[in-house]
Amino acid sequence: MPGRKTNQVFDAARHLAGGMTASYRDRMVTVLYARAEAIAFRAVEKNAKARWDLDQRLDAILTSRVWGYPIMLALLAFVFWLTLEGADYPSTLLANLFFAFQDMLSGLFYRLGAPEWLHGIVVLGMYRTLAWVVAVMLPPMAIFFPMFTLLEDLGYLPRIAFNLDNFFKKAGAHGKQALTMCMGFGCNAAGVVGCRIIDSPRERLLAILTNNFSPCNGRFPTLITLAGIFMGGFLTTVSGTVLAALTVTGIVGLGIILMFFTSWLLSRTILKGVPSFFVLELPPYRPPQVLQVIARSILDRTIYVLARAALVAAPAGALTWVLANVHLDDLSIIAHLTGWLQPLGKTVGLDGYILLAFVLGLPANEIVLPILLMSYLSTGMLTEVDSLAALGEILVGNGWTWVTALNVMLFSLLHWPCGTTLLTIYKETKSLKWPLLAAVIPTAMGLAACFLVKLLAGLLGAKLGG
Amino acid sequence: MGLTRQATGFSTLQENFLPDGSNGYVVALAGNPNAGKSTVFNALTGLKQHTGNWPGKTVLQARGKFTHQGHSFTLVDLPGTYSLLASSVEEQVARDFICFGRPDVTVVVVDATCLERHLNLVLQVTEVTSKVVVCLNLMDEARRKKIVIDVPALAGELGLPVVPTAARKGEGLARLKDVIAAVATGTLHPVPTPIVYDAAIEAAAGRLARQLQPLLRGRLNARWVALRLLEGDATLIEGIQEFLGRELDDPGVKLQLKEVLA
Amino acid sequence: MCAPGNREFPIEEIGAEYSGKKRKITMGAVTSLSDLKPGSTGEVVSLQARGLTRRRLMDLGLVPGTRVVALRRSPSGDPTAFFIRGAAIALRREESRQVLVRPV
Repeated sequence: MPGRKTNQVFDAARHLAGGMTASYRDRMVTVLYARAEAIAFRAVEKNAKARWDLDQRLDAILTSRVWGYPIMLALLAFVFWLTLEGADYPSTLLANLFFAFQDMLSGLFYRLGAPEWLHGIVVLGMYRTLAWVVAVMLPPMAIFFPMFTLLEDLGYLPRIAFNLDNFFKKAGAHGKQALTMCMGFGCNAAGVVGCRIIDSPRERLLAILTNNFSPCNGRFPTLITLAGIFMGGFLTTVSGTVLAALTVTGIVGLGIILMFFTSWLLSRTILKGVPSFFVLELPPYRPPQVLQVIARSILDRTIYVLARAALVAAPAGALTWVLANVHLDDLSIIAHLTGWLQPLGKTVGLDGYILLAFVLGLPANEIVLPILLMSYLSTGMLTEVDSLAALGEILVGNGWTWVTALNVMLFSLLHWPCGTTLLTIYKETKSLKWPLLAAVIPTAMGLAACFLVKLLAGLLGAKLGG
Repeated sequence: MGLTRQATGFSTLQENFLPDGSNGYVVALAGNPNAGKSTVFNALTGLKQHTGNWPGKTVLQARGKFTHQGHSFTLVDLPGTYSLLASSVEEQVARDFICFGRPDVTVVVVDATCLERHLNLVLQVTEVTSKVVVCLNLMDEARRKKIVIDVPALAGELGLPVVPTAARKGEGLARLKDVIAAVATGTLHPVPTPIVYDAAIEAAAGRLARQLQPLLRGRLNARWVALRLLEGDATLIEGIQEFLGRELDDPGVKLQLKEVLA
Repeated sequence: MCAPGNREFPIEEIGAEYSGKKRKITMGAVTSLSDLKPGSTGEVVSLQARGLTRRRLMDLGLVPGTRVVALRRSPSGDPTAFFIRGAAIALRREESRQVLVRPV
């Protein structure tokens, strides 16, 4: 059989090469590069030296000792500000449109004499959740994604990695984790798959386990909406919008800090080791093709993410409606469930509804807020959610203060990854241990952080809801 | 733990990357990170794979199809690598596909503004296979930066067809398809200029290649395998053994063997 | 500027003689790539790294005789970006100090 025979030849090769393999290899690589140099020398008529001038000047600013980090933060804040500022009006418009249509749908159901439960599941459950997801998510995504993609196309992402690499190194992590982290801002599942670019298994696990600290686009709408209501004063003033943008930036910044901290902790406990070889190419800046970027990021990312959210939102909406309207012992199932979660929720400055919404939102983070809203509404509160103000009224009506809002934002950043991401982690690591750990670490941090905020706010004399 | 080899190893290679069925030709797309490989991929297949300007974003091999001159082609986008010497996961994946995936054509996308660095990969690919087309991409940027490239001279030096393109603008893609089709169908037969190493390496490689020839049964380039063995590439040995083992298990091959033995 | 062709190289001399040019190496001037000041240029003399790190450094084009320009350091002091054979490549100190260069 060939196996043995090939082995003999391979052994012969090893013998032949002996201790010379390193030297053979060096000489081969040297010859290859010399040949490439010679060919380029003959075929290229003008050398490419000049092209580096502009890149150098840009790098001198974007990776400068003084301006490097402020520019990074400012860009982040600017993107959020633009998203908040730009998304508010179209969101309201869409919501009005969808809810007007909901009234028409309801009318149709009544005229046809459809049973109440059918109307409830289809219109109040599925349609309303779907409408909410689209109205709230579409405008911010249609602004945020193209902005992010523009930065990406320009070549700014590797500069972020360049600026942050030292922290990754000190945390015992691989420099490419900066890139998978950025992918996580789009989608954590994609970020986890992206961790394959990291060769060392230890560092890959670090990147996988901490990817969830990048809030994905399923969580941004929650962050942006709540910041808009509670920190931004419904975005009616410029200072309000700026404050909201800064809040979201702060949450993202906290996520990055905790990502470093967790990596550091893991690489000193269960994933001990030293950083492996790292090299990062800083590609030349390229003028982004603006129109194409906008078209592509809307088509590729926005529609894709929206479709995924909608796919999950409709059944989740139906389920939530059923849970809210099927009564056991005079109480709806939701009321039973939230009753159990209430003590834990209240202890950490959230409530049972919020925790339940996060639990039911496991399939996709996008539906957390709609589910929450529906469970609140099922208790007989307001009906239409056509603006941030109306949304704010519902939340305040259920005992929310800015502390609750801050805690929900924190918990949105710090809780288990969505179902898809957990499944992806399992697929990538082939072990139940790692997805479990990826869920436990942020959740523990989230509960602790919320508890701390509640405690501090209590000390500051802030009025707690409930 | 399942993280080490599985993601890149040969078993996944068979599942994930060998295009199913054998309708049409298989074209591998190789290139350094940032050579605009994904843009070329999109431009050829019309597939909207996102193309960011940062290295290493293609982790999964995107696959797309296009038809040209009545032939159908499956294009496989390989991870961006500087070299094929398999010192990283990406390099190993790219190398394994070019070597064991046996593509009908391998297109190497190079950045016209940074030719010297990118030629290194072209040279290494020509050591594995002669069916190579060089896609000299980002010509628009080269023009902007006043870099002039003598394309015929480059093609002459390499012994390969070289097609200048500006994939973002759609420039040169029709010709690229023509050339890919010509190489795939055998009407164009590239003869890459061999790379000559120093005498000691050449002698050792020659001896080893002769020994390897019968074992590899012409399925792999013996000189290239010999060179890799000389530089002590252990990852390749496993790959070759699995590759040859699989071939022997193939019913078609068994039948052939029977005929030969009879 | 051609391939060395069929000459035998003792390992130590590859750096000195590849590509046919006569280059004199004065040992006193040799420093490591990590010590190269941003803005200055060095010529690779040899790699001290072994194993995988050596392979990867060479694959980047850091073969003896290659001219490298130190571009800039990260705002946090490390890594440093180098201009190596037409591309800007950032290396951490752990790797760059294993590359010996002669300042030019």
